[in-house]
Amino acid sequence: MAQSTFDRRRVNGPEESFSPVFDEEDDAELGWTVKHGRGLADIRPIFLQPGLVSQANGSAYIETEKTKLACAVYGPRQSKTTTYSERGRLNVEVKFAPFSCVRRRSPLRDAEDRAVAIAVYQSIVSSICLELFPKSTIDVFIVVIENDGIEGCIASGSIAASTALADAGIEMLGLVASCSAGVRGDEIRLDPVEKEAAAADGTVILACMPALSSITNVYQSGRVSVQGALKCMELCQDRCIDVHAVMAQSLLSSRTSTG
Amino acid sequence: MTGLSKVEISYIRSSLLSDPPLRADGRAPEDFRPIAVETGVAPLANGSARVSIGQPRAGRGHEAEGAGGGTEVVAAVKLEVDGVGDDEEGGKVICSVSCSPAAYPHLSSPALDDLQSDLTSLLGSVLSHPSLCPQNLVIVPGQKAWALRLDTIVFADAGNVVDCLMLACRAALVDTRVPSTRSVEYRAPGRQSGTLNEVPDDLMDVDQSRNGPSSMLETRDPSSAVDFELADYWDEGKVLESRDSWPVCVTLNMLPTIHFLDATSQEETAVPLRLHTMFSFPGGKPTSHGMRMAGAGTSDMTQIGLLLKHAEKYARNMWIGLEAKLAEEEARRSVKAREKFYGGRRR
Amino acid sequence: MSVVPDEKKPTPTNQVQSDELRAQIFQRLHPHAYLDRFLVEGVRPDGRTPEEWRDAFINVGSVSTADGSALVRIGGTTIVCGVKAEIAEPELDTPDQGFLVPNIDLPAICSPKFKPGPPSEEAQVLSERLNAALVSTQLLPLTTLCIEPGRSVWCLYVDATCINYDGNAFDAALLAMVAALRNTTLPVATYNEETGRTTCRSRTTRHPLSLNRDKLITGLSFGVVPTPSVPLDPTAFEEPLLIRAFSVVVDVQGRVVFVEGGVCGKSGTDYDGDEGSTLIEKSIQAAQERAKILHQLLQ
Repeated sequence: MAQSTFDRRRVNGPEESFSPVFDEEDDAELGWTVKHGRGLADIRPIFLQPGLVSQANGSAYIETEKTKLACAVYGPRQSKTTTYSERGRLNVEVKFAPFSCVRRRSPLRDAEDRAVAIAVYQSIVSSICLELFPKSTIDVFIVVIENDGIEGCIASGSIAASTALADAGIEMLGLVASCSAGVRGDEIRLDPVEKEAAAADGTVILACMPALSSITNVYQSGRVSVQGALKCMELCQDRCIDVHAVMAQSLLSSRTSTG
Repeated sequence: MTGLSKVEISYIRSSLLSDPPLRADGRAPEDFRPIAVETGVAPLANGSARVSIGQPRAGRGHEAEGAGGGTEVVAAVKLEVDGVGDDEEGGKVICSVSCSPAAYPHLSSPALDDLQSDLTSLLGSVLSHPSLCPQNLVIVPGQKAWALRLDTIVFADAGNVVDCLMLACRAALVDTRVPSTRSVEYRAPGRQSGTLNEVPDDLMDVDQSRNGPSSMLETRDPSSAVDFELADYWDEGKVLESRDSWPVCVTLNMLPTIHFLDATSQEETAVPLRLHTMFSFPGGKPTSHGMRMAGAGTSDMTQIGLLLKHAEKYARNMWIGLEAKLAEEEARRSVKAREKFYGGRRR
Repeated sequence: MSVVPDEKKPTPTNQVQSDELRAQIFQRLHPHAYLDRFLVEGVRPDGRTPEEWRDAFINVGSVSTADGSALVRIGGTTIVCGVKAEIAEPELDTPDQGFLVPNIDLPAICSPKFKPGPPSEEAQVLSERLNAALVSTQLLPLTTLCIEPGRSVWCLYVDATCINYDGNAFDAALLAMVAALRNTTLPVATYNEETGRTTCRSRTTRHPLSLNRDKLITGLSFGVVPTPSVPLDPTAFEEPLLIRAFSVVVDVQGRVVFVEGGVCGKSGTDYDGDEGSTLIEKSIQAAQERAKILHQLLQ
């Protein structure tokens, strides 16, 4: 059911349409049994490229297997609101492309966009020296091109946003790396794909600044024991050090290649 | 709260960090304001509750401005019949939070919308998680299920609105009764008359006169059922299956060396970082249903580990308190209902 | 006596930097004059001649959640297009025709001039133009999307999202949409008379769309500036300075299938008949040349 209302601002399709239904599910790999040749504590390889959006002050494109998203930073620019603010304002907007999920997403903004945006905002807000940008707004825009699990999406979004902020030359305390984990029983898997996350009892997303060993965001959903959650966080934090290295390397090589 | 000045913030912070910590209303760091819970406040809903934190008590009128009132939330559960898609199990929980503009007079309407959607997504991400979906929301497997709409309204916000919301949601969900249903199947009349022809005439007459035209609807085993009807006898319905899993929330407000609970609006503005933790204790075993960080501060592993241990303890106290209160409410209401029932008959 | 370092004296690198800065300020304050200065010399700010287009790049099938997808880059402009196939009931007056629903989104990420929220005017106009181009050319006969006449048809949502906007989104979006449609495969669907439901047999058996091979279209957009030259494939900087912009869409054989133009930016002088027709002829020629290159890329 993609479009329930007529929208004059777009080319409209039929009033109702449905995702195709399949007689046989030839997808043998379901849920927790997904095979992807990764160890439990391995994350998907990260391809990270800063500076792809030439119109923006800073940008980054990240691809972790099937999760693909682009992020651009505009600003610091003048705030639209007239009230004086001593600190800069950070604004994060996330948009899923209509074709980014298994079911087509209506192009209208929905709750999930906002939920991902809040999580990414929380991950990066404490890393930016907002006190240096009075009266200004820093806009971070993310477009999800392909989504393979909301957990990976939030983690990748945070990584891309932090890289794009660095690419824009905005003063930060440190780069924010992020990693997610899924728990089922006693087993913890890092960076779960969509099917794994759906089959997990609970998930944890951690964002941290490895350079300062400080944590900027913890986002846990589902059912997890306290010990399990803490164990996930520790594993994620370890992995974030590797992610941090990837981020630093990609920023470095983008600088040297462009001079 | 709208912005506090730097001086006000540093005043609140320094008094919280002093030894012993000082709060404007004289509470200790881990003290809550008085919490009031009342269930069954919306007669047309399947379950409802009103929760307020920190209603002014007699002789407490001198409290600082803004903290004078309390945080007040009403949550109501409404069950709606919903079709089930092919790849779904059926049954879902849909949360929504609306904030009364009177609770946030300083917010513009887009800012209020943002706040509402933020709270909605926070509640939704915890309560609509598939691991919490009650099994008995399914009416006819693969065909129909109840969609549980959990609507909450924030009437007043004097700080700590998330804890208050979660308390109200848990109370309303515990209060919820799912109406009893039975599955029915449509039987073609032709087939029925065919079988009826074989029975003696007198029996057939009896059969028809008894059932009339409604004989097309028969109660059947659920596998071939296509529709359902409500059980026609008076029944309160059943409680939700995951009743003891709906979590409560404890928000830890963090200052560099201390943490404190149940912040007022001013205190909320003054702390750099908050950690919302959602716990449930099914069978006494602690389970974490959600953790969210909010604010521009940072933390570290050891601090979070320590805080979670504390949070679990606070949440357990709150859980036990709420359980006792809910049991009391249930008893009060069943007494009231009985009185009403018998009283009406006697008159 | 304190020694005051002589800041005024330009060192060579200093000189280059300040010249660059001055050029940037000039570009910001007087964009028209800035562009004119270039065009008088027969080049454009990005080093192209007015009759030169930017290199195009196509990558197809990278989005696995879509039934067909393509990423197109023309110069800096980057557009991702994904096709999602859904099942719908046909319209009463066209019981055997499916739906083709092209839309382009110009989100805030792609350029500072777009704001988050509902589609901007530019996006709405662009969607309409793309729709007109795709429908008028009959690239995809809608009858091929029929599953069961009057009951069930395919509805193809062709959504293009701009990631980086550096002018001429029409050409890039059209190319992306055509490439994504070429890449699209549909599962085999059957309509069940008894249940009234349409189901697909399996996820793996899929067939490509029956596109009209000789109607594969490509576009080339032009802009007219007051000076007598026609910049092809305008960039984001040039676009607002054009007095007229139009697009020519040609098919594989080079036949013109769609010409569309209009006044944009500041309206200028009208062309009289002769001048106008030579202009159109010239641009059609260019579009045909461009089409050959793009078709090679599409293959």
